[in-house]
Amino acid sequence: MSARLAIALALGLGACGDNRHIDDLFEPVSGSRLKLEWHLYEDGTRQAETAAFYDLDVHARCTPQRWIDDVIRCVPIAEDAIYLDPTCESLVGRAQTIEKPTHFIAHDTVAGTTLPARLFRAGPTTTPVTQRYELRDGECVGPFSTPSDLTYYQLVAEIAGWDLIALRDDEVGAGRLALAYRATDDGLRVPSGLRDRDLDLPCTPTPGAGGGFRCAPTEAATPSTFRDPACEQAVITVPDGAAVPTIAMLADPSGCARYHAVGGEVTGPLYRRDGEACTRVTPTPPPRQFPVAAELELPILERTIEDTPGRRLQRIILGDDELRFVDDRLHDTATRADCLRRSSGEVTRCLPAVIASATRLRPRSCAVEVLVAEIPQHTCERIGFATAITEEQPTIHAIGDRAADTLYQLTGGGCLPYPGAPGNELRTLGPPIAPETFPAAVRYGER
Amino acid sequence: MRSLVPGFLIVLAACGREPTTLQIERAIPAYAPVVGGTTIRITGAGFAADEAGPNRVMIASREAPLARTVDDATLEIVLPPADQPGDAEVVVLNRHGNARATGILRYSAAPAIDAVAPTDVVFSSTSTVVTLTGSGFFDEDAGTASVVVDGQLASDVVVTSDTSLTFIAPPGVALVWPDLELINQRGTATAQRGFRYTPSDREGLLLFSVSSSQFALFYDPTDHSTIPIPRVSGSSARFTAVVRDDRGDYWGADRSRRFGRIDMRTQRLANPSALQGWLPAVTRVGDEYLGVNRNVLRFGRLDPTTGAFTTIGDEAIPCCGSYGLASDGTTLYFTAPSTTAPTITPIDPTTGVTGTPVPIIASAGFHVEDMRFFHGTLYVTSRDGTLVTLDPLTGVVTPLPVNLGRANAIEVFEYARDPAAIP
Repeated sequence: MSARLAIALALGLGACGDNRHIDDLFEPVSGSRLKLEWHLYEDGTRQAETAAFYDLDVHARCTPQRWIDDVIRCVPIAEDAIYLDPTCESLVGRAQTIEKPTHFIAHDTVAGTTLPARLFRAGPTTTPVTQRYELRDGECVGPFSTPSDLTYYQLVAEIAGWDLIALRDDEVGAGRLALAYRATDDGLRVPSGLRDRDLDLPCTPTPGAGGGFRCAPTEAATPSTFRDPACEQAVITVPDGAAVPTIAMLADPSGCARYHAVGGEVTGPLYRRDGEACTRVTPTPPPRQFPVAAELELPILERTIEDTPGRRLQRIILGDDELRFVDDRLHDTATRADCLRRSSGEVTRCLPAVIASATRLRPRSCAVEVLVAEIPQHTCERIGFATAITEEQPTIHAIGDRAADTLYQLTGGGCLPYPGAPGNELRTLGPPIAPETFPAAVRYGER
Repeated sequence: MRSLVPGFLIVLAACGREPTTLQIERAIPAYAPVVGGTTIRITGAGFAADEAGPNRVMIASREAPLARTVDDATLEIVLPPADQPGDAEVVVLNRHGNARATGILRYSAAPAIDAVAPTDVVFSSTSTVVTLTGSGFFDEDAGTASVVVDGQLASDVVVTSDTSLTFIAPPGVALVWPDLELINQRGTATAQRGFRYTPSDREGLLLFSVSSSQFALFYDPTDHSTIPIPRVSGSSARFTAVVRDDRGDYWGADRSRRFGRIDMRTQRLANPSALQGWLPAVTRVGDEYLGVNRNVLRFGRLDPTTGAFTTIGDEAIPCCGSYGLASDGTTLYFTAPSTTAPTITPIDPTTGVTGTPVPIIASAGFHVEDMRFFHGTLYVTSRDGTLVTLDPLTGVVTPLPVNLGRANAIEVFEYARDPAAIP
């Protein structure tokens, strides 16, 4: 089937309104007091903010943090309250980053850990101070200096810490895949991550070689050494005393990652690939060695792109037989690729989820610079764009064809050919794409 | 509009929806660089209404990496790279079907350099304005132009039109033909051997020095002025003979019995060939490189690419020492040492038959290192560092009022348009 026909059929089928109806979709919901905030894109698509909420009683944005009572509470985003006297009885608010602070939080240190302990409402500004004290394990210590050129505020009312909404962690899903979420007694519910119950590890939706998605371990070690002189038996090396990883990740020829168990400790010579060669290496001090063992079967994720008419961005629904939830990614129909919410300057935009970093190299003479992207020859997901820092501003560029000529870099040895990493290729980049090309979002809160 | 996929309309009909007309009118701008990545707008109709999207856009058979629907009449797309410049077919596909247009978008050709003027720039000059003529310098959003001269960024680049720009050539290394690169948004144009860095703005003789600090010395016979050509870093080559080819490049033989083109950027032999003997004198007559092989004391023909030496005739030349070989365009002469006085002798370049030797009337210390005719006068460099003129018919030597130091090789420097240079 030709590419055009495939495109046309895909569009045509979509036009028939073949939207999958999802009854058991896990979606974030607000509580009666703790309200969700949403990112609303210009096409009407919205995404829940899962890291911050709005507390209707305190009248402040808040984020889940461990309070001094060891309970995760939604703690207002606030400036520091600092102790003024050697007995740590009187406090003042110190504004460093928030222009019009509404709350201040005093932090205490217990067993080396500093935690929020007291919450105050902001009063009028007051005379700047130059020294402060801290409560450490119940003892008031100090003084310490504090900048006098900051704005200081009186504190007018203390809000009891136990009055802040507590959040609890729970999970749903009856199968291997569990969706972790945070919930409150007032009814708020937001997803916080995925967990592979069989491996008992957090996992992340990840594309596989066959085009499907799996929930792959969020943390995995990538081996760069081998146990054999043919460089075929990968081995994880770990400095003595460091934690031993449980999962290893290897790239298959398609560029997709495969995940493996990590075997028991072994000893023996180590080898490393050096271009086409496999050469013996003798690290000093010798690291501990753990061979890459059998490949792991990962939980398969069903992935459905919604088809909401008139919208450039479409939500992605992930799940298995027991569970359905909304992905952090959106599908951008303009780029035919997934995008992620990211800050672009002072604006939040949905930018390509898979994006390369631009590299500055030089044509043969090394007299001028050109921007290129160095990307693997085989990638699991298409990489269509690259970011660059140009005149202090991050810019996005379309990735073009393979660079026709050898490119060079200026080094201490002069203008030398840039070798690139094995398996990578250099691709040309177009000029910066206007930021407005990518959908912008504004944040709003439910009240 | 031409339907590309008839089956698509059937699918639409099955949904009970009336097809909406999809049209392409214009591309704004109507051009783009072949490397792609620029953003253009496509105007037309049927891009958004009646749930038309998403739109997918094919440009010259490659899909646009980004196609944003601005409104029903406008798409904004990031262009894919093109395989070649020229008109690009534009195809838009959406739920209404597809539309195709040609003649509305063109991939711009990369800039091209057709000519460089002047073709000679004094190597020490910091103010020579060079003009490039060609195409693609300004139009179709060519953008800011940079000119690179053998790795150095040229200053004061002024694009005067789409076909012309000027820049100030940076100082360079004498006798180098630098490569030029013009870089703008439309691509890169290169001109190999764009011009030549000359030692002087006049013609004269080059004396290749045996000193460690000076690579060569330019001598102007009209006023006896000289311009030193310093050695570049790492250069230590000393040549026993230097000969100029028809492109204006210089070839040299060294004491390591190698012969090759002298890379003036490094002042070293580039890919030299091993010589079959020591050639203290080489010159060019027409297309032939002729030399004296001191090992076999024979006159012969040199293949500059292989270093092979083929003797001409069967006459032996006198032993021993250094030799000179020069042609005035009509007669080829060689000089040889003698137990009494050095002589200058005509020699037939095709048969190797020698004429009557003429004793050179010179001081006792006179010893020919090399010689060349320049504007009809034979100039001879002597081992004692003097430069003289020599009448080949009488052997009379006339010292010149300069002492240039010892030079083993001498060759003419002339303004000669490089036949291999662009276009």
